[in-house]
Formats: sequence, structure tokens, C-alpha cells
Amino acid sequence: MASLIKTKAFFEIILVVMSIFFISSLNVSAQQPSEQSCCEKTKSGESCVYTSSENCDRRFKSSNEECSESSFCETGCCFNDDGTCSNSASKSTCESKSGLFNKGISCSSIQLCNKGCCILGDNYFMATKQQCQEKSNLYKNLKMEFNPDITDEFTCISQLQNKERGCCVQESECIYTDRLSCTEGSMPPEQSLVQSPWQQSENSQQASATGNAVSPLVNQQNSQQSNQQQNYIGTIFETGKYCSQVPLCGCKAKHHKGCYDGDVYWYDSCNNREGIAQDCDFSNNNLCSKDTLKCESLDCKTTFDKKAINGNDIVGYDGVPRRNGESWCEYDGAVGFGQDLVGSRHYRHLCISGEEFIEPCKDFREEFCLQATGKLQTFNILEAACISNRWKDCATTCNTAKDKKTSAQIKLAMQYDRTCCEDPMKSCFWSAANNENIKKISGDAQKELSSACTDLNSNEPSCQPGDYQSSDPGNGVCIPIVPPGLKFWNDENIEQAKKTEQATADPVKTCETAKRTCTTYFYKNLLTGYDWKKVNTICLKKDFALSAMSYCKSLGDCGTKYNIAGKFSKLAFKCETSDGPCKGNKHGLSYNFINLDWEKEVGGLDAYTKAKPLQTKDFDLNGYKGMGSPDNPYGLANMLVTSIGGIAGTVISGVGLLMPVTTTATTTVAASMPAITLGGEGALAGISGTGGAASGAATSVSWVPLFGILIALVVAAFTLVLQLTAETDQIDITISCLPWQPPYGNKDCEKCTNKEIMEKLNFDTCSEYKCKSLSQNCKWIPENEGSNRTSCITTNINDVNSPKIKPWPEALTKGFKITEFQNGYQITPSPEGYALVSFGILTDEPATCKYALEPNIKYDSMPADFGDVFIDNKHMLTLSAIPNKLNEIYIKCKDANNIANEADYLIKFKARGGKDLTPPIILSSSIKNSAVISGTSTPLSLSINEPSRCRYSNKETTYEQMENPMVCSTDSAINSPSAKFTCSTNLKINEGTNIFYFKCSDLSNNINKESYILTLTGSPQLKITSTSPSGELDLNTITIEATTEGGSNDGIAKCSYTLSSKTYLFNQTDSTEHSTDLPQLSIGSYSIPISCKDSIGNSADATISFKVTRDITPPNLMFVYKQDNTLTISTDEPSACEYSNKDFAFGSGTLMDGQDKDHTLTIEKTKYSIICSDSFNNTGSLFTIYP
Amino acid sequence: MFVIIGIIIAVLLILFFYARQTIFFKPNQENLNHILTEVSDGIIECIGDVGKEPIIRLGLQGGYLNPDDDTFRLYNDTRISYLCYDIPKDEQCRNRMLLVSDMEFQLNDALKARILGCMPNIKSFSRGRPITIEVPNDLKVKTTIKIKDIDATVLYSIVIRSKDSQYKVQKGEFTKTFDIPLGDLYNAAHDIIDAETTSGDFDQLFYMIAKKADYKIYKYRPYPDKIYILKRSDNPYQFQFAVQGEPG
Repeated sequence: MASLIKTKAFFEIILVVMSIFFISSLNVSAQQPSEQSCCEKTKSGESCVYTSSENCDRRFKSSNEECSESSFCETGCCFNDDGTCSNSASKSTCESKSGLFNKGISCSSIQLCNKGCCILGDNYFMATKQQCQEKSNLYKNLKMEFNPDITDEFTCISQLQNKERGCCVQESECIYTDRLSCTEGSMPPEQSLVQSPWQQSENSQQASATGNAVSPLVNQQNSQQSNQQQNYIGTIFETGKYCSQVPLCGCKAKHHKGCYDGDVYWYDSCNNREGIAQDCDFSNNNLCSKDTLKCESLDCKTTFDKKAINGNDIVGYDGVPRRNGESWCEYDGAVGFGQDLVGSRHYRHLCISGEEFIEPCKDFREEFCLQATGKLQTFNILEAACISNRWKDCATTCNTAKDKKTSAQIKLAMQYDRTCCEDPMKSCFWSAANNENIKKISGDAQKELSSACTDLNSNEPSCQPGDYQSSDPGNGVCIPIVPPGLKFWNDENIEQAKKTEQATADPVKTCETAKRTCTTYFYKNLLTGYDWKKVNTICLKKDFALSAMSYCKSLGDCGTKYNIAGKFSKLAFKCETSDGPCKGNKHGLSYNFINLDWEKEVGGLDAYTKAKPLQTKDFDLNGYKGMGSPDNPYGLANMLVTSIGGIAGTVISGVGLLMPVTTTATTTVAASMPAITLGGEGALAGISGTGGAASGAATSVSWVPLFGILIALVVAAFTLVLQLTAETDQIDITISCLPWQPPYGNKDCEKCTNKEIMEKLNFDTCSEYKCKSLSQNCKWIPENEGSNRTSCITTNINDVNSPKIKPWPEALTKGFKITEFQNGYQITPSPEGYALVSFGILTDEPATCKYALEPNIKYDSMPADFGDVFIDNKHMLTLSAIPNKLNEIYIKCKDANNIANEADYLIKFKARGGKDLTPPIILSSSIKNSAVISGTSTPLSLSINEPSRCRYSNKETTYEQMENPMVCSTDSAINSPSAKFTCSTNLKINEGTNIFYFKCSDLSNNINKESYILTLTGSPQLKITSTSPSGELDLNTITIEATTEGGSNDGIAKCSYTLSSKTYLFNQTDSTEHSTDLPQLSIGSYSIPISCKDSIGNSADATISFKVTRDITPPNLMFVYKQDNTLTISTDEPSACEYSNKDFAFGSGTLMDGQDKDHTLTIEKTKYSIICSDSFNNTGSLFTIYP
Repeated sequence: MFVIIGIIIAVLLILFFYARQTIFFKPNQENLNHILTEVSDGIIECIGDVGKEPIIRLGLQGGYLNPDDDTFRLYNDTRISYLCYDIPKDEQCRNRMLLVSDMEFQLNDALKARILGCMPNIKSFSRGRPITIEVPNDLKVKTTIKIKDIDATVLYSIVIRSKDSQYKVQKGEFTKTFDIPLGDLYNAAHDIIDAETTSGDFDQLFYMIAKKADYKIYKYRPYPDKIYILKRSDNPYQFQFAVQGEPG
């Protein structure tokens, strides 16, 4: 029994353990439903779109992966059926547009995609051979040639100029063209299929001069000549002659000038080009100006001179004239090496044809601007580019030395780090240790260490000169050239979070790499006169905090920094010590990191608003080599003090009791003792450069002469006394590097848009990153991005004031004026009844506004928006004046902090009765245009601005002829300027497109001239095309199925069934095939109604009828007999029978032999309890047999 | 007295002109052509009235009149379609493959609905005149986007006959040409997409210089995407589109 219990217990334990694994593996392997999928095709017909799973057309494939990773949307070259080629096209998209897909290759490697010079009549353009052929098919009268050897547009087009040209005299016109076009009868230029840029300018000049591309001969002043021309029939080509030289044409030479091919040409009075009037040189930045018809310079005479927030000139080279084609970098402040202002961005400016363009580099400084000096003929010009900022490896992969323990390891790691850092494919900078300041700091620390070595009589290798020198010029630390911007805020909503999610640039992780801990050690002994001596005192000086912050800032938007508005924030500075507060005194050494004047220490704002541009001599857009750098006084100090501190730690930790000499000791303990040898060799504990661990090594003992032993004993005794009387102490200072935080409580948000740049260059500098950097109070409005509305607004989390409203006179309709009163204004004079009146309000902060026609309604309950739904300071509304009434509009506004006005702001005006001469305006309909409608009819109502009668028809006709009247509310007593009088009807909808034309007539019989058109699509009916099962069933489990077709979505619908007065959804539904398993049904007939509905409400019903004839009775015992030692029982139907010696439930007994009606068992007992069950699980009751 | 005379003269004049148009109208070839010209002008004017708006909107929305969710970037209150989708961790992007024919199909549908609303009542031209006008039940619109302009052609076969069937004029196509260089800008956009799909970037400076400043290409960077705005220097029409980017 005990063993059974043990066995059971063991088994149960195993079971529990296994089930834990099983369940956890279920959790691990269970697929989370994905919200986004790559759809091979969406419901609207787009292909290969990564979107919400609901948008996918279920008849096509979808995948949770990105589209480029799915097989059906893999990319390659698509050769389109119009002859063009699309690089990096998706397979499914290509095939859906009948293109030829070539997997995984670039179009440049496909011959069909190679462009050549297509010549069609006198048209020359670059195209693929097939494109050329396609065009040729449209213009069969033109001869087609294709030259694949010409691969650039300029050479192609210049073929035109090389052709033999002359005056082509035809029936009624004279054209200066080439011989081929003349003899083959090319189409007049206005019907040219494609034109070179120069042909286009020529034609437009011709067109603008006379209104015709070619002046017909009938326009000639000389009637006699005109008669001659009209009598002429046929074509003559006068080689090498201008048309003004052909008397038949009657064209006057050098009639006017025009631009052609960038030069100034003469044109005759028939608008044919003649000789060159002024030869402009594009390479010298001259081009024919269409305005002056002279060669004008293309250079930018002035450029924008960007100033910093404090008025400083950021870069000294802007604001000057620039040559055409020149580009240069502009910045928001100092750049590189940790100096970039938070929220700042780099820009590339271009001068093209006298206009200055701005190309912003990618935000968050994910790109930075790099420039070089180039040469254009004899001129020096600047060339700039936005380069990807590959900063991620700088502080991690290329800074391995900080984790090394021994000086040898550190040295080796430094070499690797430097090579890694100086890789031109990375955007890193090796900040080296040869800076004078670093040498001084390092020198001071070395002196303290030497002193400790002497006082403590330490034989640590690092105490010997010539070992690891932290100021070795080969040493340094790797930092990003341009620190990246980081997302230092939390988003208010998930959608916005997704947009700016920086998956790999976690601000906390990025900054914490620069966390630094430094330890100052204290010791005293006999040699020091029992005065406390210190090692590595730099840790307690502000230099350490400054150097830690300097390194911290160089990694990104970390630590204490200025933002782009010139506001300093030290909210991200955190200091901790092992003794508690960051201010105090330790063994006579005071320290204070709390009251540091950061702004003064970092040099003030001026130091961050002047940029030394990032420049390289070897300008290579695909990479860059070598960078100049400004001074960085504290760059390496924090690393040095850590390394020296580590060494000092080892020295200090060596102070303690003398340990016995060993022969094989190998220890790796932080506070191990240096082993001492009695003369001869002796290995001492190895030193780690970053402090702490030490490893001992084997020592050896050797015999020496007696005199030597005496001396050694004296030395040992002295050392023992020294060490026994020594005392040590230490303090750890940790400077954390946290993500930068914007300052509080200011109104800098409006500075997001640089108004000067906006005015002069029509460019908005505001972005979410910049907005968030300005203040904790700034809120980014993504809907306003790129518009002229404010996209960065001030919200004050402590703001309890609702928006203040005042009139906006500029919004008022002309001819009216405002008379202000408290909390509102009146519009005078009175407008005509039903006239549209526009008026507006201004709020003192960005807000949304609503209105009602009664007073004292809460903002959220107000029925209509005042103006548009955007958050803004300006709000305008246009309403129809109700005649003979004082129209009163009660307004409330709500700001970005959700604080709404309590009191109404009232705008009122009295409208006259007036004569209504304006037809009614149909404002809107209850059904959207192009809606898909289910069923054969749909109710519709129209909103009209005044009481009217409306009619409609299926064809455009007059109001009177429209066959179908509508039911309208003509109650003009509905007193509301915004009242929407309605007309309603029930529209008959046919399958397919239905177009309805509506016209209305008001009570003054003003009728609409133009119809209001509504196009609706009647969706096909949803049908249930098949159901199952039917007939007689004798199954235990019955599955009902249905198939749907038609409807608005090709049969996709949701189906439900009703059983026992309850309705259930099919288990498998929301497609065209529907199925579900029914619970066990008893014998009888069933008619189960099913109902299906698609997404727009088309429905279909059906009934599934069947009969259940399943057996429900258990097997009955027919007879029992015994023969020899065998007991046999017979049942009335095939069954399974079990037996036991006691009462039991079926399933836990012993199965009898025989599966049909006869069952046997070998008699061994005197009593048997038997239960039988048939194949329909009908189980009989237990019966007992005594054989 | 004089007022009455004046009124009578005015009425007589009106009657005269009306009669000239109707009672005295001769259904000859010249007059039938004249009516056809009036009808044609009316149709072309209708196309001109309603055609510009969808073409402008097509250009502002990157070649799509009704962009779907996740296929556009909202910027300056405009849904600017992505013509190239982001490939994660890759500087190149995935071509959405907007074709000229795609834009033509969209314009055909959009113009048809609008043109139906402003078509002149053609049969009214036969009122009071001894002519019959046959028009089909439905019309088709065919848009052709060329380099320098766009042809919007209404295919609507009109037959005007004299009642005695002696004279007949007919016309089946009515074309309005919009001076909008959509085809040209589309080709430039194609070049930009080519560069974005091949090298992950496009330098508008070199391109504008190479094209002798015939194009103005503005590049905006609403994070993390790019928006290109293309214009010809001699036409205010704008074609703009977006290239999808990913956060760094």
C-alpha cells in the first residue's frame, strides 16, 4: 500500500511537472493574433499593402510578415505592358497589371528595359523599344526609328539639331523643319507626342506669340501674295533656307525673339525659328529668360542668412550669393561631438536657377549634412549632401576597452576600438588622449598613485613607471560624430507612437552606456604620519561630473543640454554617492555636485549657437573619410579617471595582513594580498586597469645566505608594522546618464516654426521632435503638419483657464461690421433672409469650438462644430440667415487640455424678410455619394438650406420634367440659421450603377439650374446557394453547412442559425462557406432556419431540414447461458459489454469478449455485474449474474 | 404711347429671332453643322468645367483619387499617396507601380459622373425645328494623359437629321484638352522612384541641373517619410507623392 501511494505520488508529481511545461509551451507557441498583415490584395483592389488584417481580401493570400518578406509580394523588376519598367516592384502588383515579373533583379540588367533614342517623325525622346513601338502605333503616319546606342537624353535630342533643316512649304503653311518631316508630312507641333524641354519652350513661345503653333498663310497682310499662296498646291522643301527667305511664304525676317534650347533666337512673323540672337551658356549659368528674352544669370543673388536663437550667425558662409548648382549645409546650432542642440536638425540648401531650395536631412539627426569645397570651372563652390548617421556602433561595439581588466587587455582593446571607430562606413569619431587637458588630469592622478605606491610600499606592476599610461596617445574613446536625436517623451496615443517608434534607439539604453562610477581612496599609515592621504581625488572634483556629462552628451540627447530655443535643462542629471548625498566632506576633502552652475561650466549658449560645419576634403557621397573636430576638453577624462582609479583600487586593496608564502597560489580576489618572495623571483598579483580583480600567481621560495635572511626578516617586520597600522577608506561617486528632458513652464512652442524661413522660403521647420524639445508643455498636432495651422501648441498641465474668445473681423462677409459687447458681438446691418453670412472668432490658445442655438448647453452636448474640426486659433462659420428673426449663435470652445468655456459667447444678427432671389442649396444627403446599397430600395433625405420642394429623376432634365417628387418639410417656422430643411424619398435601386439627379424649388419659385447628383451602386443580392444536410440521419454529431454568393462582397457574409428559440453564429463563418456542429439531437424532424448578412446589410434566409433516426435505446439482455467454464450473454443489438465483481460504471470494468450480440467471459467468481453499451453510446443499466 | 410702341417693337424683335431659329429654320447641311457645333461646344464646355478638379486632385494626391488607409501620408491636409513602400532595414523601397493607365482609368470614372451632371440637354436643340436628334443612352469617357497635356474625350454619338432625312450630320467624340503636363511630371516621378528603389535616395540638384531647370522638385521630410513635389517651371500644376520611410 505504501509503495502504491509512493508510486501514485511520484506519478502525480511527474504529471504536474509535465503539464507545466506543456502549458507554458502552449503559451509560447500560441500565435498572437496580428493586427497588421501584408495583403496580396485588399478589398479595394490595392495589391501588396501592409495594413490592418480586416482590409485583406480573403480570396487572396495574406501574411503577418512585411510584404517584402512574403513570397507573393517579393520584389523584382516588372516589365509593364506599356513598355516601361518598374524597379523593386512586387510580384503580385506586377502580375495584376499584366506585367512580366523578374524576381530579385534590377531592371538595368534586363535588355528590354534599356532606353534608347526613339525617333518618331521629328520627335526625339528617350524610351524603351516597346514604348517607342507603342507610340508609333498611335501615329502610323510617322516613321519610327530606335537607336539603342544613344543612352542619354542630350545626345538623343541633339540629333534633331543635326538634321538638315529648311523651310517646308505646304498647302497652307510654311514650317521651318527637317527634310524628313516635311516630305513625310509630320503633325503640327501642337500634336507632338512628346517633346524635349527645348522643343516645348519653342512651341510655347510660338503659341504665346500668335495663339497658333503655326501661323497659316492666310494671315499674310499682302493680299496679292495671299492669293498666290491660296492657289498653291503641293510640298516644297527649301534646304538651308529660313521661311522668311522664301517669297512664297511672305514671312518677315527677325520679327521677334524667343527662347529655344536655352538660347535666344530670332523668329519670323510666321513664328518660324531663324538664327541665334544671343548665345547663352548654361554651363556658365546663363539661360534664356522667357520674361526678358535675354540671357540671364541663373545664380542666386541672395540666400537666406540663418540666425541662431541668440542672434548669432550660425555659419559664416550663408546669406551670400550662390552659383547655380551650388549646395551648402545649414544647421540650427553647433554640430557634432555632443554639441548639437536638442530638437535640432541639419539642412541642405540648393541654388537652382536663381531659386533657393531647402532639403531637410532626416529628423532626429538620423542624417547629418556634410559639405566639401569643389571646383566648378574656375570657381570654388560648396557641395553638400545629407548622409546617414550610422552612430549605433560607436559607443558599444567600438568601445570594448572599458570592460577590460588588465593593462595588456586594455591596450589591445584600444587598438581594436580605434580601428572599429575609424571605419569609414561608421559615423564615429575617435576622441584621443593627446589633449593637453587630459594629460594634465591624467598626470595629477598618476602623481597621487605614485605617492600611494611609495607610502604603501607597494610592488604592484602599475606602480612601476613605464606600465600602462592612461594618457598614451593611442588611447581614446569612440563617440558618434553627430549625436542622434532620441525620443525622450511618451506618446499620448498608440497611433502616434507607432509613427515615431524607434525600435532600436531606446533612449534609456543609449544613454546609460555613459554611466560612470569613480572611486576616491583614502589611506593612512606610519609613513603618512597617520594623516589621511587620497588617491584619485578627481572623482570628488567637478571635473569628473563634467567629464561624465561630456561623454554622456556625446551619445545623443542625453544629460544636460540646451534645446533649440536656447533653454538649458539639467533635469537629466543624476548623482549618487556611496555615502549618500552628492554634497559633503570626506576626510577633509569636500565635494558638491548639487550646486554646479551647469550653464557656466558648459560655456553658455553662445558656445552652442555657432557651427563649425562638418566638412571633408574627400567628398564621397557613399562614405566619408576623415573628419576635423573641435576641442573636447573633457572627452576622455572620465575614462582615464576610471582606469587610474581601478589601478589605485588595487594598490589600496593590497593594504592588509601579510599572507604566507605559497608555491602554487593562484587567486582571483578583489582584496588579495601580494605574495612576497624571499629574494629572487616573485610574481605579484596581476593588476587590472579598471580596478578590483586581481589574480595571484605562483610564487617560489629559494634559500639564501644567512645575512640575506636577516635583512629579509627586518624588511618583513617593517612591512608588517606598516600594514598592521594602516587604515583605508573610499567613496564611490556615480554619475548617471539619463535621456534629456525638456524644460518646464514656458511658451516656446510657437517657436517650432521659424517665421522668417516660412516667409522667405515658404518652408516649415516644425516637426514632432523639435516641438517636444521646446518644453514639457508642447503638444504636437499631427493633423496640422505641413498646413498653415500651428502644429506645435502650448498646453499647460496646470492650466485651468478655458480659451478666451474674441471677434475675428477679417472673417466677416464684406459689407457688414461688428459691434462688440461683453461676451459677444452683433453683426450689422441686417442681412437679407436666407443670405449666407460668414463670421468668425479668435481664441487666445489653440482650441476647437462648437455652437448651439440655445444658451447654456454644455460644450460636449453642442450639436455642431463652429468652423472645421481642427485645433486652431481661428474659427470661421457660414450660415444662412433666417428671415424676420434675430439669429443667435451660442459658442463655446475647448482647449488642448480639455478645458471648455462655461459661459457662452454670443454672435447675433437680425435678418430682414427680403425678397428671396436665390435658389435653394442642397447641402447634403443622408447617403454618401458612391455608396453601395443593399436591397432594391433605400430611404434618402436631402438637407436644404431653406424650405423647398424637391424632385428627382434618373436623367438630367429640368425641374418640371422630373418625374419623382419628394416629401419635404416646408415649415419655415423652424427658426434656425443652421436648420436643415429636409426632403425625403425612397429610392429604387437596381443592381449596378444608379445615378439620381435632384433639383429643388423654394417657396419663392427659385429653381436650381444644376442638379445635385448622387451615384449609388446597387449591390447584387446575397443568396444562399446550398445547404446541408438533408434526409434521414443517424449520426451522433450533425454538421450543418451553407454556401453564400452575391452581395456586396462576393458572397462573404456572416450566418447564424436558430435552434430551440435561440440564435447562434456558425462556428465557421464570415466567408462564403459556413458550417457548425450541432449538439446531440434526439430522434425527430428538424427545420433549422439560417440567416446570412453581409457587411452592408444584404441578407438571405434559408431552412435546413432533416430527420434524426438515431437509435436511443440501450442494448437489452436476451439470454444468458453457461457452458463449461464460460458464461455467455446475448443482447438484442451489437454492443460492448463489461463486467466486474462489484458495482461499477461503464468504462471502468473489464471488457467481455465479443463485439456483436454475443459476449463471453471465463467464470472465476461467483458473482458478476455486467453493463452493456451500443455504438450510439446508449448504455444499459447494470445487471448481476450468479453463474 | 412711346413705351407701348417700344414694348411692341421689342416683342416683335423677339418673335422675329425666335421665328428665325424655328419657323424659318432651314434644315440644310450648314444649319445642321451649326447646331452640331453648338452642341459640341456645350459638351466641351461641360468637360472643361468639371474636368479640372479631379485632375488637380489626382496630382495633389500622388496619382490616386481615393487613397486607401495605409497607402498615404497626410500632409498639409492632403492625402499624399505613397508611390514607394518601405522595406524594413533596407534603404531601398518597394515600388507601388503607379502606371499612366491607372490614372487614366480613375479619371475616366470620375469625369463620367461629373460630365453626366453638366451635359447640355441635347434634344432641346430640336425643339421647334424640323430636325431630329439621336443620342445614345450612355456615354463613355476616355482620358489620355500626354506629356504636355491631357485629352478628355467623351464618346457620345450624336446624329442630327433633317426631318425629311435629306441631311444628316453626326459626331461621336468630343475632346477637351487641358493644358496640364501630368505625363511629363509623371515621367519625372518615375525617375525619382527609380532612384529611390535602386539607391535609396534621389538628388534633386543634379536632376534639375541636368534638365536645365525645367522642373522644380521640392523635397520634404515629415518623419520618417519623404514627400516630393514636382512642378514644371512654366506651369503651376503640381504632382506630389510620398516615399515611405522607417524610423532609424
